[in-house]
Amino acid sequence: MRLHRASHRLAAAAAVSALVLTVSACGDDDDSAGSTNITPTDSAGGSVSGSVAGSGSGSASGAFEDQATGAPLTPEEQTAVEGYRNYITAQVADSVTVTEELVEAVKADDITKAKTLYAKSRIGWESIEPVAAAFGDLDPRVDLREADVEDGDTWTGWHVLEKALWEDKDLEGMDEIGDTLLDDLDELTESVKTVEITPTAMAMGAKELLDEVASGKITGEEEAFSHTDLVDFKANLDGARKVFDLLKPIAERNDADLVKTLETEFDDVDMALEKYEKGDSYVSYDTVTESERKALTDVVNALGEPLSKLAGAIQSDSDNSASPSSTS
Amino acid sequence: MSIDPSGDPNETPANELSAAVSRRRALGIAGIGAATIGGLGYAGREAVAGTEDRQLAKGGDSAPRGLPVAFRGEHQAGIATAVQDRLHFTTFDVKTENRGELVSLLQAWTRAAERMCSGLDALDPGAFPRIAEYPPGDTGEAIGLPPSRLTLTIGFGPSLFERGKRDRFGLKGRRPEALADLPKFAGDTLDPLRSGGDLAVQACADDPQVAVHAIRNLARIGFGTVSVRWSQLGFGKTSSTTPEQQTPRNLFGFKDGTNNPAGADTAAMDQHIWVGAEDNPAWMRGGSYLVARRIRMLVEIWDRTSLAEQEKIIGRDKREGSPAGQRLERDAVDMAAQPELAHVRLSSPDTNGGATMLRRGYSFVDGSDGLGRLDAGLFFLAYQRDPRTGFVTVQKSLSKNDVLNEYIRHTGSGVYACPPGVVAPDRWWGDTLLG
Ligand code: HEM
Repeated sequence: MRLHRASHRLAAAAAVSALVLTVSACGDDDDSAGSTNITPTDSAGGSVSGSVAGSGSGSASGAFEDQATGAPLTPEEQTAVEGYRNYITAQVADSVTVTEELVEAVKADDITKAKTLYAKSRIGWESIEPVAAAFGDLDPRVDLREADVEDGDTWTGWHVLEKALWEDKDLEGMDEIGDTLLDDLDELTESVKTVEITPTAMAMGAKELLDEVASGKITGEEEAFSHTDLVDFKANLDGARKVFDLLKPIAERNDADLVKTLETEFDDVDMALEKYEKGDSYVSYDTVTESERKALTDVVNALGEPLSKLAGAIQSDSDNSASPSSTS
Repeated sequence: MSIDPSGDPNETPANELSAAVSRRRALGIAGIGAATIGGLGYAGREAVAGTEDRQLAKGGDSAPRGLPVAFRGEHQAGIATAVQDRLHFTTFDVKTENRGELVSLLQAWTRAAERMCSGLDALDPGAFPRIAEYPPGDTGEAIGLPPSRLTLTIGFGPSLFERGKRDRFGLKGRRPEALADLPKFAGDTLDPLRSGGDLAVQACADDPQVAVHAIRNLARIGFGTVSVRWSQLGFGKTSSTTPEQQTPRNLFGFKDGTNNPAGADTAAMDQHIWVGAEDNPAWMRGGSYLVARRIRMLVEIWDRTSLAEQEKIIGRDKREGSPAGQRLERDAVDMAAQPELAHVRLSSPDTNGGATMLRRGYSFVDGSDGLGRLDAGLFFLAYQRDPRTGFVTVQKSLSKNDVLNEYIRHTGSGVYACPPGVVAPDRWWGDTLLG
């Protein structure tokens, strides 16, 4: 990941919370506002009509104010939210299990084995990353890339191991990095139990997963040493699809066309990725040519664009005529 | 017609007139007196005030479109000057080891720059030498175009003073402390081929062809002494130094430059932008420090972001430009209403110990990248009295926390000491340092 999403989410939780997964367990004083449950109607939906600043509570700058009360979730929304909590819990547990094996291999100085476990250990994480971004600086602690490290920072997390395994080929000092990573993942396990989930936040998170693909994975920036970007890509994609599947019944009512489009586009990206499968994983991304990367970008864009409308389409006052669509 | 209220076209120096005349002849346009020419569309390029008069042309900074901005003055033009529409920014590596050659180049550049800013050919003889066996002295693409408020602003990079500890032109001891190398900021993905440079020239004009013409001719004059290191075109101003005018929008669709010091606010300029009369080194007094950053904007991803989120990230209303919680664009920023990590909150002088810069950036789109994404962004230019307490302070805060970072990448960087303006006719760019 890049540095900023984590702290962004924290702040968003404090200051806005309309769109965001928030943590009631988080001790930050500012966070009290964020721990209130937000219903979809409180979100930005109203801004689609382009309200002028200052015209009272409906003003666009009202989105900056905390409007964190409102109606409880409908049973349908409740189902989506529960389903998602089960999903993220399972994904985090999976990441923890494989990371334990990874750290074991690191401690045994078994570089070859550790390399086979590295990307796998990240799959669970990559599929739910936007949720994790709500937990203070947890995200940068476990997933900061080297390029995002500033002079004077301490660098921890998966990518430190990645560099040691592929670039330095030397695991000196990595035991400690591994232990810290496991501690941080334990924290994640605890945090997801109580994380506040709203359908809007889920939809925004799905869109962010696709952003991650488009800005980090497609370019090969994320896994600069291991070139396992396609594994992350697939995990991001699956995480987004899970959200879509859960929200489908709600979105269907407001914008059936959007749902149909998303189904097709998700399938297209899956198909495009299949080409690069190798064994139970994917080819190294440095073997994927520029023009192949371009083709991947195209399908990702084709999905990312409609997916960005999902959050709008699940608002209770939404119908597809409110959506800023150029095609329908 | 006189294009400059303080300048009488009849006083045009002979050599400049001859350049003008030769061009006119080639164009097949009749008429010799500047007054006659003044009635034609390209009057601004042809008619020019004498040097003496031009230095008095105080009105230059707010010159109407098409007309020249005074080249000479206490401060270099192109900083406090009302922001023109187009940019061509270029940096150069100095190739010679000889200080005298560098000085000659700066003198030649000063002459050419002054000529071009007043609408003349770069050299005399210009585009049409009397002996046709010579190549033209001016490249010619600006023939017939008005001066378009062209300004040329020069700056000296750290590597001019020392390169890897090596004193290059006896300047090492004169390097300003404020011209420190910029630190690595979180998220920097800088391309060395789009960073640094011994010299930088910022060309701004309302017509892109006029800006490009100026850079091209300076580069040509410099062959053998300097070579172009990297350059950047900008097409849409993303900042304003003239609060009375409508604020332009950047490629994220937000008004940009609302809270920028006004170029005409001399008190603010003296306090934050110009190197003061007591500041050191003395050769920089009246000058300013420029930080340039090529910032790629991932527009495709930004465009998929909800309006509410976009506004939260910037800390301003998109339509009106008003700060969070306020009504109108010019309303004061209310920190209590600013989202925790909004760009405006994090960049504001209030959160940065008063750090204030004059932003003068431009949008760019350098075609697309190999992945079908626009290679678009903001070419960020900021002037300040001391970058250590200006840009560096602010960027430290932004690079760590600004949510905008998810949508941008810093891909190029430079810091330059821009010397004071040249006033007297025998002065030249950088003479306070090298003279
Ligand atoms: C692509 C990158 C950037 C974009 C799109 C952007 C956009 C904006 C916008 C829309 C505003 C609000 C309008 C205004 O007051 O001008 C603003 C304000 C500002 N920005 Fe940026 N900006 C970018 C990068 C930077 C950088 C790199 C810096 C400095 C390190 C910076 C410093 C400032 C400052 C000082 C303000 C005025 C804050 C205030 O006093 O209210 N910006 N920017």
